[in-house]
Amino acid sequence: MQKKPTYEKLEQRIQELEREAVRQKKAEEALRKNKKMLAEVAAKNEELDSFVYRVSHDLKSPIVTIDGFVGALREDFGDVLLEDGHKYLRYISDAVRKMELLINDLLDLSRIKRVTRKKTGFSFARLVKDVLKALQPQIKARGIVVNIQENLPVVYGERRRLGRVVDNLLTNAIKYIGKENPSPRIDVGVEEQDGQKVFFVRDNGIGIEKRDFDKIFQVFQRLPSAKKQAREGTGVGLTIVKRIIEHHGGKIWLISEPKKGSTFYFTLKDKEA
Amino acid sequence: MDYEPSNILLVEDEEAHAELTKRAIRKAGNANRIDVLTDGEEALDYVFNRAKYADKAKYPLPGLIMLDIKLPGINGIEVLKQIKDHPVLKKIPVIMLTTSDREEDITRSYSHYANSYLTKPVGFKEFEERIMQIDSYWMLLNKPPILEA
Repeated sequence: MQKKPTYEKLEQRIQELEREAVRQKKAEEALRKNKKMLAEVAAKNEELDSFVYRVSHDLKSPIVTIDGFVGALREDFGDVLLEDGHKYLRYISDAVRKMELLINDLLDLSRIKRVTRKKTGFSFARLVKDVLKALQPQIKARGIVVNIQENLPVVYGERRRLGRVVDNLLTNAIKYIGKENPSPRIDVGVEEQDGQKVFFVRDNGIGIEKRDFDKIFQVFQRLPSAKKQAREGTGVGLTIVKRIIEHHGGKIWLISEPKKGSTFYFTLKDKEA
Repeated sequence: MDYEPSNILLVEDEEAHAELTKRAIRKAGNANRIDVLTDGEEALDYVFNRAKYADKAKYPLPGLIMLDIKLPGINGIEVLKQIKDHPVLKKIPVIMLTTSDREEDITRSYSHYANSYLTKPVGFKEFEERIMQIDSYWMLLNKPPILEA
């Protein structure tokens, strides 16, 4: 009496296993295809980085020429140029300056993954203080109070590049602190989130709409509100920040509300064993 | 061996950059003569006194060589290598002057014993100042080597 259902069950089980094997095979196939696609995308990205690097590099040379001869014209023929002539030369110089910033940012961006520098352990507080020193004129001009949390930990990574992260985040915070802000303030610190050290740069500036959170990390994306606040800016700064953090095995995100301010959070990997 | 320590040899294929560099060197006023060459092969002919530069009295060895990396034909690194491989020429200071800040260019230059590596800055004043600094260091402060054949 018991034999039949057992046999049927066995049959059923075999069929299930067969179906499972087919599913597994399909999944393996899909995984293999995805891996191949990922490798292709990575190769294309690398190719694009190297292309951007080469082009940006080649653009540097004509810029040296343009600005060099604007200077030479001013020096050698400045006294025979009319006022308009000087104005036109100023326009050229300003354009060169913008292009130089853009080229340097693109060079930096394309270099992040291609070149890895030596990682060391260093004081995060010291790094923040070093960066702040160079930003003092802008901070003073806007009357911003900057508060650095005490007892910031030692971090492990490429010091110069993490300096760039802090510099770009602080520069952004200063730029978008808001012209009408009565008590501009920036906080730099670290907090624990889900058992993980999370660093932050917080400002009480103009803030960002939630729908733009992802957009701001994309290259050449400058929000209209950002353009209104600051004319300068290449739209590459936060992309560089994101790439450097990811290059260090960390993550970056933000919480922000218009007119209340933004907090940029990031994690860093501890020293590899 | 004809040698004129106050002469500068500038190897630069960009006419405009050569013009700006010459202008700054002249302004510094320490060099006697600046010869500009636009490709690597010519630069080697010049320092080895070959081909149209065979006349040693007319083309004495310079006291300083300013060398760009990106040159048509034989590039700057190869020119540097050949100079530094030569028992006499290797004593002449060679400064790499380029827009490239690529780590591989810097590493390769020093591997072939470049005496200095400088990038051309953007900005008229910055460019001029850098050239004038190079000029006053190498032409005034630095004691040039004594070249013996």
